[in-house]
Amino acid sequence: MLELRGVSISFGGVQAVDHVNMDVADGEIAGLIGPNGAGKTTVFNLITGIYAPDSGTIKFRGKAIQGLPPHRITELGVARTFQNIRLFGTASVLENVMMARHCRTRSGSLAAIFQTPGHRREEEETRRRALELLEFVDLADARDVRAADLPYGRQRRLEIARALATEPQLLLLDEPAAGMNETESESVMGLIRRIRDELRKTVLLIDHDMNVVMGLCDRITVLNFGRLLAHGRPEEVRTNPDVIEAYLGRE
Amino acid sequence: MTDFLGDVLNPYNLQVVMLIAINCLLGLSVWVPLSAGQLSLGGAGFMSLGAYTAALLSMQAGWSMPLAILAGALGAAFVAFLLGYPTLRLQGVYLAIATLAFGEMVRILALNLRITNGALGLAGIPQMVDEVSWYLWDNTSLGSSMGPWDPHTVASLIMVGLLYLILGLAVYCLLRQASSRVGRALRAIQADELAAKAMGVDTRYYKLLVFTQSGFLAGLAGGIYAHLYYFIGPGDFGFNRAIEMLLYVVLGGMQTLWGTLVGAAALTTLPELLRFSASYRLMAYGSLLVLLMTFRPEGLLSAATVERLSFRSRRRRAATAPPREGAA
Repeated sequence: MLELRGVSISFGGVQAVDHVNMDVADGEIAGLIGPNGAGKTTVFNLITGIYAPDSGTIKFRGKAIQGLPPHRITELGVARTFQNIRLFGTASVLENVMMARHCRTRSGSLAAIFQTPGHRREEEETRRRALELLEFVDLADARDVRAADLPYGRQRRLEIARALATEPQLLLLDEPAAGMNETESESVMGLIRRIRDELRKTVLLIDHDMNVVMGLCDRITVLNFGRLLAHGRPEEVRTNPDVIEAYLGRE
Repeated sequence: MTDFLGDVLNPYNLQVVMLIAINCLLGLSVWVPLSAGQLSLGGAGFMSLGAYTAALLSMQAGWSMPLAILAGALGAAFVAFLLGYPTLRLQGVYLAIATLAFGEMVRILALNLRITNGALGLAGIPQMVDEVSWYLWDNTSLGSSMGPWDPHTVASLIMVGLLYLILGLAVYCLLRQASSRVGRALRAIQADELAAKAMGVDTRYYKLLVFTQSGFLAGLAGGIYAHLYYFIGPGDFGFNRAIEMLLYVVLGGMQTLWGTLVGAAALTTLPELLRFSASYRLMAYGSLLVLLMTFRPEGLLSAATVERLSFRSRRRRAATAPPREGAA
């Protein structure tokens, strides 16, 4: 599904990501962890085209996508959420999801001005699909609420619904359970499993909460100082001495 | 009754009513890019392009006025598209400054080119009202009518109708666009450009689109302006004009398109209403603007007000709701 080979990027002397190799297989929930500043979010930004890597290749379903503009990568089937929630705050919950249908719809200004049958059909379909997704993340009751007025946990869910509205094959979640209490993160974990099992999406997630990562992920990649530190199944990673050292320090 | 009509329909009042329509178009030309978060102050430059192009085409190339005006608008739109390309990367105040500089460039060009007749400007531009009133004079019995219905007044009224028809058409198109997929993309860019990109919106395309539309509207207003006034000069399209256009949007309320129309109407009428204060007029005008911004920073017409006045059903509104008041 996703394949990173020797991906590097530096910002003014800081090697943020250094020759990282990573694979995400079809249908799995993969985890990306590491201490603060390890370059996890930078990897997300590289995959989604916000940055172009200095070197290396990123392949999505066999096609090189490094350096493509973000909207093209979204079109190809990669969607994401953001660590610091970036909803369209003043728009309603429903509208937020409808906005993300953009790359799966076609009609332009002229179709809207003349209200062509195709345009009407598409608007209807956009609305229907958006409501369906709100139903899926359990936000249908809040559809008319301004996104910025939602409580924090529900904003995270809305971001997931919005990302799903772009019809991705690969969903990148940047700390989906950050700042949540145990019940909330349990329910987000349930949602992420349903995304894989019911919607058949592949998921790559970043999180600091080890319960979430260990409980959800089929495979985990560990970064430290921009470098690949470890890679494997949760139990392998948990007992890896390098990982323990990076997180806890050496005795 | 006829005396009263004669008073109301005097040429001065009709001129103000027409000017309101033109200023509404100018306000919209600022509002459109702003609805995608792009602050462009190039409006005066595009208006100038539209005005000079249309005036020269009708004066020297002998084009019919509607055709010349349309050509002016399209020309301005094309230049806006070209200007949009290199300025795409600029944001916020940097974009504002670059577009303002463009407006100054156009003004200085108009000041120095032979074809625009330099500082003297273009005089003797064919007048739409005159044309219509000559037609009425020749082909109807209005020429001999008494009271307020002389050919010139009737022609002015026809022009008022035509201008508001054009304005209505522009508003209709923009509203349709705003409640469509395109409008959602524009609001997404305005709210969070990075998130919009990540959600699949080609931000470059939409920025160019609003820039081009903005150029078209300002150029259209310029062409009409030239054919309502006998004279245009470089001074008509300077820095003041650019700021005035921005004021329509800011003071009217930029959350919805209606605010811009209210702002343009209010700021066009206000200086006329303040004429009684004679030499204190501009001071009074300025003070009113300061007071307005102090006590109603969201503008005359906020989105919340529009929503209260709107009769559309709640459910429908929710689907296409514009950003509401007090946005974070």
